Amino acid sequence: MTTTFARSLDEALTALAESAAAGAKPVVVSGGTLCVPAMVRGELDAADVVDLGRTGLNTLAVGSVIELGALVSYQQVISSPRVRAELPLLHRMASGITGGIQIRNQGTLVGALCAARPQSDALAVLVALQAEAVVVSASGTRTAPVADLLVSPGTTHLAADELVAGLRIPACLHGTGYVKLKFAESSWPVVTAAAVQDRVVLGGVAGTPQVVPLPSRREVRAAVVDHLDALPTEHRWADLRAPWAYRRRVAPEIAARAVELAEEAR
Amino acid sequence: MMSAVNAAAADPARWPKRNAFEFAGGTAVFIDDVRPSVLLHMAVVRSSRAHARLRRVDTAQAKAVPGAVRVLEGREASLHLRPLPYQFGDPEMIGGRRIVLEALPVDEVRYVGEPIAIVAAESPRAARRAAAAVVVDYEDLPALLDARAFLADPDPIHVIAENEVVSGAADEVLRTAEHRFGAEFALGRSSTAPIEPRGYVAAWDGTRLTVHATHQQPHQLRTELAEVLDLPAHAIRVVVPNVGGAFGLKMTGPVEEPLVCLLSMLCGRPVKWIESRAECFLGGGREQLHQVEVAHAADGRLLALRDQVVIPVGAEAVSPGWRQAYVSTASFPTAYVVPHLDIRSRVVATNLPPWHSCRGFGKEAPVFVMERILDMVARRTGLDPAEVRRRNLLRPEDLPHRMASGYRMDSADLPTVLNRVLELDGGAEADGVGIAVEVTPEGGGHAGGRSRPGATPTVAAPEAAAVLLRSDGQVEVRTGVTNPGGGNDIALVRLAAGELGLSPDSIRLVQGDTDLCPPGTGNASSRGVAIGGAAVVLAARALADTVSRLGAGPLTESTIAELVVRYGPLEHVREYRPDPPEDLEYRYSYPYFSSGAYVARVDVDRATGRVRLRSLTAVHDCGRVIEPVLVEGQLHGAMAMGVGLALSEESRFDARGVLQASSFKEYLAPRANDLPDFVIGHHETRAPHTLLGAKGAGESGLGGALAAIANAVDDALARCGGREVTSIPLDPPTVLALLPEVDQ
Amino acid sequence: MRLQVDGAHVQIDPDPEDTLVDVLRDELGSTAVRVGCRNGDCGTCTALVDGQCVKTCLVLAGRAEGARVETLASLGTETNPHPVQEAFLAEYAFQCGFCLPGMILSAVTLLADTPSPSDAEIRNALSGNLCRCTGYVNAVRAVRRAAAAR
Repeated sequence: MTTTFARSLDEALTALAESAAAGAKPVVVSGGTLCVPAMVRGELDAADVVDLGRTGLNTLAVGSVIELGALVSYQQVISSPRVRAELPLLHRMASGITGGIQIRNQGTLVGALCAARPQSDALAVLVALQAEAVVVSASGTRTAPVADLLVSPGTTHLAADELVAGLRIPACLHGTGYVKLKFAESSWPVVTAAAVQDRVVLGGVAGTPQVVPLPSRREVRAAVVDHLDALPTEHRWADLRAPWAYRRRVAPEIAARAVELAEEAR
Repeated sequence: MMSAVNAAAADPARWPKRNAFEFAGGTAVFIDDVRPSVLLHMAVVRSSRAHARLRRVDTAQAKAVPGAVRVLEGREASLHLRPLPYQFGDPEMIGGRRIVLEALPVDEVRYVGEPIAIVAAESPRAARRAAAAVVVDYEDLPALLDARAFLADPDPIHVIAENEVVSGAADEVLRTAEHRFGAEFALGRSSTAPIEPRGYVAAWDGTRLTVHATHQQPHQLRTELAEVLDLPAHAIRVVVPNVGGAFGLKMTGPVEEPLVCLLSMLCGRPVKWIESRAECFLGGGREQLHQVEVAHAADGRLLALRDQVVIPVGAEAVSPGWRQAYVSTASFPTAYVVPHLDIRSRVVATNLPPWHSCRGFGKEAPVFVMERILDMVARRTGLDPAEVRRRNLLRPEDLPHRMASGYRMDSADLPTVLNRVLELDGGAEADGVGIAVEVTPEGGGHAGGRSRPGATPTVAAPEAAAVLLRSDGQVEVRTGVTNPGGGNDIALVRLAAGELGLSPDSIRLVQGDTDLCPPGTGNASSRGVAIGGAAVVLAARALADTVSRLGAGPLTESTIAELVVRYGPLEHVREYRPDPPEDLEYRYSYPYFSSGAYVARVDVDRATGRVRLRSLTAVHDCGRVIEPVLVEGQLHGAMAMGVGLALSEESRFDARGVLQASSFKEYLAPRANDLPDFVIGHHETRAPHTLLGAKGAGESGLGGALAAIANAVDDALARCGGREVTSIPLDPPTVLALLPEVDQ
Repeated sequence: MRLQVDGAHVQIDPDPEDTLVDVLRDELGSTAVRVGCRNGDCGTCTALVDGQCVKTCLVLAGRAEGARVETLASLGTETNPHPVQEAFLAEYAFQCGFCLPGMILSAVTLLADTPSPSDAEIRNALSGNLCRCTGYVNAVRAVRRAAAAR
């Protein structure tokens, strides 16, 4: 195993390019909360590791679009008064991250995006906010909507030599709501719902976040039911915490609660 | 931010646990901090199959891994090790069968995670790599993974013990009674999960084996190792450093104990094994299935109870875990009078990891079942649940009471603890309220029951203490009681100090060293203070008598030093065993019963099934309270574990017998923001048969909390048309399934 | 690589797979960070890295090059304990003590930002640390006490 503790984004990209050219599938470490223990246990077989810890990608800039680097922690998001004012949905989600002070200091939004776990807190919110990922490699930069990057559980549309250097999220001041259902403080989220304007995005019901357009605020439950019932069986999500049938039964309510919060925040 | 502020309030003499700064300051030594030089590290190769014949275990590639020093599979290990001895007595005493168990299997594996081979290497990483390089060729065999599968095809080959507790004529009463109902209750498999997993450091110097172990029972471990390794006991020293929680996990019996020692003997170097969290989660217990039939009178009195129990204890093992099944059966009908009783249990070996002792030791399951039954009777008679309990509880004048199993309830005041907890409960607004009454047989003696004619009478295991003067002016107390982290050291020091008229600061307590401490049972069954403390008191009294006879006046640092110069250490050793009245008809059983009553208040989210615990209140009776802060601490911890078992903790396995809950992300132990503050009241019914009148704390609270919460959830469900609670844990899918699906 | 641990400058040569807790314990002999899960769940490997309260089992060692690491051992002394240490001892807010690195450093971090926390804030702040002995009752009391003592 080789580990590169890159001192800059360029160094990280060079290391990635070399590893990818050699046919390896390098692992990029952002906050480390998911991939480091997986490597320690040998579940994540990583020949090459590129750790972004020293790249300085931890800036959070708030303009008309909020830009945050790959190392920006949940705590930075929570502590930023501008995020609180202009992205209350992101603030609310970050404040509810499990794992206490330490994980809020260590976990990152970009890491959560790249892990692409259906049971993530972050994904439905990022999709709801129409966040864009800044995807870079040694040969260039592209931006991609977060929703387009997420392929299936644990898989993203990222080439071996690419990494997500940061996120760009348009401000979304009012009328958002977020509700997550988890079973205990230790539990990962089971169903999440992020409500924005005319849609609600659901996490934990399928392999990737599900955008449910809402023709009317009154018909949230029915819209969710219709959407879930139309989900192909192979996309329906279940894990140790709950079977699909449970998710199917509670998701309309979780969505309705998120929409209700959004109404209150209008 | 990090600068130390001189806290004017800092007064170590007022800290409940003295000399405890090492814990808050980060210098306390636990097993993984024991690092002898030239240390090797052990890793364990584990079965990936639930039940299979071992065709071949190929260690060649493992031996070639850089850093690997020794690789050992079952066939070779069996040349060096004798079979493992059963812990806690002969299995036949509790209706169990006996098999020969080796530390490493030679022919057959019986669960996913069973050790197949071991590796010693220069680093933990090298050991893990070598372990991963061992190639095992399996031939799969049919596997039995759960109790329901057994019930579907109850092949007696799986039954390792059968127990029955019968009195009266339950059959007839159940057939003819006007009011009767049936129910099936299920408790999930759960674990102990102390934050420090198991760990051992074995060092063989050519003549003597020194084993550092995070352990509850150093003397029992020494005895076991002596037998398995074929060494004289005096050639083995077991030393227990600070223990990071135990809850039953760290009793004698796991196969890694002799294996790490064998590697040290074969390699001639110290060998360490620290269990990983995933390995730690393999072990568990508490899973049971109860099919009950109840007959009761219109006024709520219980008339008859039949319970057909299946208890799947995992693979057969010598460790005491499977014995909890006997205790569960024998503890029926807990705090109540049931004139006609017929409890029959089958203890079933399955292809899951073996049970280990789990806080509660089987006493929690009957509390859950009985408390659910009492609430079901209340529901069916329209009576208040507390009133139904009052009509069925054993009264103080009924005690001592010989239960149908032969267990003897020494003393309690159950109606009073129930009434007091109802007063103490704050009555907060909540969706559901549940109460529970709990009795906890304690003090050791799980194998109660009628004596067979001509059998040797059984007696309590003693605890012993040595008290002696030191030339530095301190008094040394050596005890066979070990401290799993619960703090019995505090009480033992105070007891000795009290007898000798000294400050606790003058007492030096030595625990957990088989070379220094007199034999004892370590820590088990809440005996540490009630029985071990009595031995300390007796030894201290004997020393005080001697000092007084020598005319030395009150003990001080200087008089102690002078006495040592003139007379030596004046060591006094005393043994103590509790003294329940002799009754040759019955085997010795638990000498005292702790008791308590609990009120839980919960909110239930009707749309998701999510339960939130709003309040949990207890009134607890553990006899004389020696150290309130310790008793409350024990109770807090047991209640928190009870909350976890009621709502979230479960060791789940997949259809191939692979553990799914192998980290704290899957095994949901309560965190600080899952729990409310607990409210605790004490009631003292002194134990008539212990020197100090104490009964022991530690296990009680777990079953009471879990039953009260289950009843509270049931109450909340009943108020919105839900079905009755019959299982734990009550995770949201389980609860939601009990709720009517309202049309949205 | 260089590192400052509890005020002392040290030089170490970690394996690329080592995490910071491995280095602190195995290379530097610290007993003030412990291993309970290696999964970021239990919190007993907690230390402050460049002032941030983190779980060191989640940090690859090389990432911490040049960092200032402060463990529980740097907080106070027996005769001059940190108020949070004093409060945990006075309230008997532990039993086995194995979880205290995370409990105490989380409480210190909370009180630095929130001098008068509510009970909910206290429980939230402690939620990164698992304790199986105490049910957290006395730990919450201890944080209240430390807040009041400031």
